[in-house]
Amino acid sequence: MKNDKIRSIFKCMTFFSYLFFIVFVLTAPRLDKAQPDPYFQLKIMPIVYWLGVITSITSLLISIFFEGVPHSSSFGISVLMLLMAYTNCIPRTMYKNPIYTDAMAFNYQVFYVLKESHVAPGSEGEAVPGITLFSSMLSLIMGIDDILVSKIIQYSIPFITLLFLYLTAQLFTGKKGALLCGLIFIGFNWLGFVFNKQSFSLVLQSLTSYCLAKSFLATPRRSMYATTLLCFVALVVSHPASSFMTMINIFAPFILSSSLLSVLKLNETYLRTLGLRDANRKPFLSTTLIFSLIWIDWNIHQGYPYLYDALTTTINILSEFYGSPVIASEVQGIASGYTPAYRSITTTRLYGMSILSVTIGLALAFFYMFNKKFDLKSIFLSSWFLSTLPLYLYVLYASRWLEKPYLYALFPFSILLSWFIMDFYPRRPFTKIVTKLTKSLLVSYCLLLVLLLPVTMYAHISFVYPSTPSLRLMDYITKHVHGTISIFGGHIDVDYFVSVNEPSELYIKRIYTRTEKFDVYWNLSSYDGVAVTFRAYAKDAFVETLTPSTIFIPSLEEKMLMKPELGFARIYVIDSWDILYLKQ
Amino acid sequence: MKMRLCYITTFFALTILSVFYSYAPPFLYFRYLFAPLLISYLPGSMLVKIIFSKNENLDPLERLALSFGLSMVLTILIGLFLNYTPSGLNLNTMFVSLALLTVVVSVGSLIADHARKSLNSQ
Repeated sequence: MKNDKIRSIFKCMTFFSYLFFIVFVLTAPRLDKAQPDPYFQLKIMPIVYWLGVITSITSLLISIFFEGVPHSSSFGISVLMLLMAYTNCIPRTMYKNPIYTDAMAFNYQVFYVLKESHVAPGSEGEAVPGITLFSSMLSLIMGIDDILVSKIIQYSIPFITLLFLYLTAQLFTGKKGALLCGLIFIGFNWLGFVFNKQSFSLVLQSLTSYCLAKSFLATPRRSMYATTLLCFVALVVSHPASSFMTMINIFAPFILSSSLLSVLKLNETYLRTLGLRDANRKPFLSTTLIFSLIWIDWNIHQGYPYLYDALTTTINILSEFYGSPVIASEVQGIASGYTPAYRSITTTRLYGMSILSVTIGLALAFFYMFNKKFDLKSIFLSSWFLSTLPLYLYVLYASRWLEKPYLYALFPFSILLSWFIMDFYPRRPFTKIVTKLTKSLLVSYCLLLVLLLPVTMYAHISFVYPSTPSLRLMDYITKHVHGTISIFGGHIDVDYFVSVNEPSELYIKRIYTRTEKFDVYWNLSSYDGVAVTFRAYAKDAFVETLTPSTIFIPSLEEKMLMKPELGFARIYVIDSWDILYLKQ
Repeated sequence: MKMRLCYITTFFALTILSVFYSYAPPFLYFRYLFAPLLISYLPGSMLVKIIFSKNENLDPLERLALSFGLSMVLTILIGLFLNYTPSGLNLNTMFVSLALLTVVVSVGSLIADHARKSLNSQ
């Protein structure tokens, strides 16, 4: 009887989640530009969207945690895909002028291939030809333009990645655990997916991981290893950094696990007689403790300014609710784009999420390593996660791009967490209660993240890290500059945004007109100023084009010098990437 | 086996027609249907058939996902190869190479099936 009720609720929820999806797709608002409002996404999304998110989550939860629900792989994964569509893909489809982040640079590469039949020599396309070649082939054989191809690929990357993660998790946790793993992955993936080489290589990375895990855990066969190698070659040509990390993240634990297992198998009896395994735990634990202390200390030291910033912003946002519009006054008159209020929030979010995932993942990795008594799966998974830590440390000390190690660690982390939630049942009463509480907390936290994902997403990109010079330039333009300014911005290695004030299709047409050797300096005389910036925010600004600033700044200046009648002069220089030229 | 051969031949005929002879709707929609299948499903699917036999531990979802993934891999590798040839990447070279690869892999899958069957009968 109870099962029947649950089954009917489940069917009802699933039906409605699909229904809301169809209704939303048919009636979705088409937007010209984003407003400078921290709650923009929350305000513009219709109620059907939120109902769709809630029903698909409910349906997924029933499917995971209740017995007696008709369950099959294809059904479970379809609900999971629906949730991915709600949280990652749908918000991007609503804009008339899609802002593609890195896509502009890649569209240029694809366009070059379509025109010249070869990848642009000396370009990034030549260094990482995977995405360019695949997009070009799709564009040529389907007979569609490269802009549409970039849309298609961007929307399909999350689904294929999720599918491979689901299949990999299935090897460890079973079908229900794999569904939970997908849910965790969606919740913890605040970075979103964009059309760039990193996102594209994620598909190949997840495929390689799956093939390797499959050959290691399920069917150890030569043909499977050959397939893995084939995937790895494609990954190498798609993104060398990803493949290097995959090599470290997967092949290293693979080799380590194999050698560790063989050593343990040889010495197990001997170790047991000496009782050495228990004794070995102590140095392990103390090392971990020291490592954790150093790591926590570093994070507090590094994260303090962001934490302070985030606290101030939170207070500002709260005070806005109670009548004093602090943020509104801060961004008044600025064109569509990310508000400065988002800087600290996004940074803290990324920092906090990284710390959380590393802490939980580390605890689980060690737990499985010891608790499962060197089981094959636990060794593989734990070492997979542990091998992502050196990259974290490197990034903390040497680079500011925390999102890369975060993404690499997210795959084993999601599997570890779902495995723990689904399969760990202690025997002692007290441990039982504690475990139950921890599991409920973790699941609730994941759900909260999934729900917050579309709320905190702003102008369809979930993650942005505006640099301080860009913010200062924006601030200067907003306060002191009048007239129309042409803004050049962007960088091919990181995601950026531009504000497009024109709701027309001009933006898309511009790509085709500018493909002649990055010729970006037409009719400068019609503007009152030119701003070169990493990310662009401006009042009354019309964005002309996108291209890596470092490439065109010297040429731009040369052109300005050659034509003194234009009357431009460097007015405001923040750094080598953020410069403002105004007419004197 | 004969059926599969029949399906593949029909698919190729339709794809060639749709890619090279359809410039406007409604025939253009056939191109949108067949071309992605040729790039992102068929080569991988045939390769999966070579690697895994039917009775092996691989459910339909896994087969589908691997087909997509491996097709992507093969397409990228073909593109890379073509990029270093003098003719480069254009519609003709891409289509011919993809079609050739798919035919080769399909024949390979048929041979693998035949070999497995004869092994089982022995």
